[in-house]
Amino acid sequence: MLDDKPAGEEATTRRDALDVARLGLTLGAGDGAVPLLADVTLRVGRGETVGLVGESGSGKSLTARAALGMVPRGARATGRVTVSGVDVLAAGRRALRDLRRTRASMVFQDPRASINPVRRVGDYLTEGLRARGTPAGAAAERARELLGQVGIADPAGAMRRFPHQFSGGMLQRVMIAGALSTEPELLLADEPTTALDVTTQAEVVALLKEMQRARGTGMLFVTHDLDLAAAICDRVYVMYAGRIVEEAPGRALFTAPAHPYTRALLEASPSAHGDRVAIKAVAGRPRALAESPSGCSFRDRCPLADDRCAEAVPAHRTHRASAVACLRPELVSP
Amino acid sequence: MTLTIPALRARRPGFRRRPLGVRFAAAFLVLVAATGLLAPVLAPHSPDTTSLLNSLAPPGTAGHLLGTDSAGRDVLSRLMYGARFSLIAPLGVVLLAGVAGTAIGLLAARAGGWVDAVLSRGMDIVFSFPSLLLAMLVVAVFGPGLTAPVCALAVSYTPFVGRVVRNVAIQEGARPYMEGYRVMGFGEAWVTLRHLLPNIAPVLVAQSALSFGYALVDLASLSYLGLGVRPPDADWGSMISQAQSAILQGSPWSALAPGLVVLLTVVSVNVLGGHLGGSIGGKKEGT
Repeated sequence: MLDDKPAGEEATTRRDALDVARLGLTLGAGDGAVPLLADVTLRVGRGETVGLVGESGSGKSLTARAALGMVPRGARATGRVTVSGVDVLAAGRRALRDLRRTRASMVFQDPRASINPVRRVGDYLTEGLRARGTPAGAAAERARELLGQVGIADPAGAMRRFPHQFSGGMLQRVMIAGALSTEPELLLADEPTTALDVTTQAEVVALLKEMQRARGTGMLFVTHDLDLAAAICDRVYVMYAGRIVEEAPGRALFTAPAHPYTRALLEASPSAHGDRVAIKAVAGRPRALAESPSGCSFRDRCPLADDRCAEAVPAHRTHRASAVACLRPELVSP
Repeated sequence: MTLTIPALRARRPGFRRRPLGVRFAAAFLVLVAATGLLAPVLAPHSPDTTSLLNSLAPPGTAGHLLGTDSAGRDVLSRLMYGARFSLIAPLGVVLLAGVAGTAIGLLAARAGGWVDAVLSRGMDIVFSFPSLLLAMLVVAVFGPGLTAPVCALAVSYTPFVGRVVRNVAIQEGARPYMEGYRVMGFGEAWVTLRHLLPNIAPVLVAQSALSFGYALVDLASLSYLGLGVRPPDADWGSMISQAQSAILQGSPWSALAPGLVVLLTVVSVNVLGGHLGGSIGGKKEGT
């Protein structure tokens, strides 16, 4: 499911908003080289919502940024990243710029830090359009229209205001309007709701889903909130230590996790529904790829691990609805 | 762009709401600049007319509010005319050093790597050279006058601005909104000039005000040493220098007046610059 796609590969990559194949990222070279990502393969179809879940440092934001060709300074990327037919890792400066201006946008975690505080909201929204050659009047018209669509009352007045005059939720709507202004085929949402309070969170997620559905945009939803991802995403990828350990449909992930790490994450999150159960913290601390053990990266924290887990990085295999990188998924969800 | 001005003004407190010291500083600078500008109209006497019979008159003498110097020239008139050179020259230094320093600082911060290393070490070298010494060297080569010392001081003040700009730009460049614009497909130069520069403007203003004060004193020192403005033209530094002998003769007035004006001007510029630096760009959150 995750691996080889022999026949018709060209056709699928053209259709997909984002196609990442065996992406690896290494900082530095020689003995001091630090691996950041290994063998990351994921796909976001048009109009599809795909979750990318993991703890801090698992490499989920790195993966999202690599989709825009933004790799850390001094890092070497291997594999292939394709955004609606454009090979991102091989693309030149101009091609990357065009890609970012027209085909892919990003919504960031903290809207207050991610919008220039000394520029007006109107400037923020029209700047991208102006850069694509839209005349000033038309760009302003379009920006007002977008602000209305994301649910901001008095769009004309909002255009003249500064970011600090908005609440966090409203500002996140502004950023979503900005991200959608170029009619992208791929929307990267990097923890777009983490900095917001819970009710605002729900509104922003609903807005994102609605805008995405209306436009047929593919969305990669990066979050550490497994419950949220399972609830809104068509498919979810779970990342651990720079690798993807499980891919499953949103629903299935929630009910029948196949990787011990996914199950541990689910058990670690409190729930307001159902019976009271003890919250189980995941033993140990999250690992970066560079410091993870041989074989399966999760084995030093895994209750099911034995000697076989140290031999090699487990290949992805199908278990029920999931594609999972574990030797014994049947012990996790029989 | 036309929309920007009225709303910005509405957001800012009026002159009356600013601290008293800042209001005094601003009023004093306006006064000094205005008297310099209107010197031909306002000055009671020609600044260069000597009257040896009337030399070293104390302040308050009829017709000479601040007295006369050892050559019998009216001190008030000379102060007024002197304001021209004394203000314009440091302004030139600040503008030149500001532009060069900002350009170098931004380039070093944004390019990083060996570009940063070369520019930063270059600035260190210039910085380690005393500005007054450099100015004297240049004057020795090109002869006295204002242009040469202004250019020399501008060179030695460039790292003063450049180092600060570089540091703030590196800090500001790491903030998430910078990445946001890169994600939107804007080039480094565009993001730097249009988005980073306005955000570091407060620091730039404060630093420029500080350099203005230093430059004014440096230029006054040069004039005092006889290397700046050529006599009989007046500027404050040369007035102090020429009044030296009068101090020994028991009439310090003609030296005190320009000395006091230099002091008050420098203090005012620093007070105003510090205040503007703090209020431009609104609240700074986080960092």
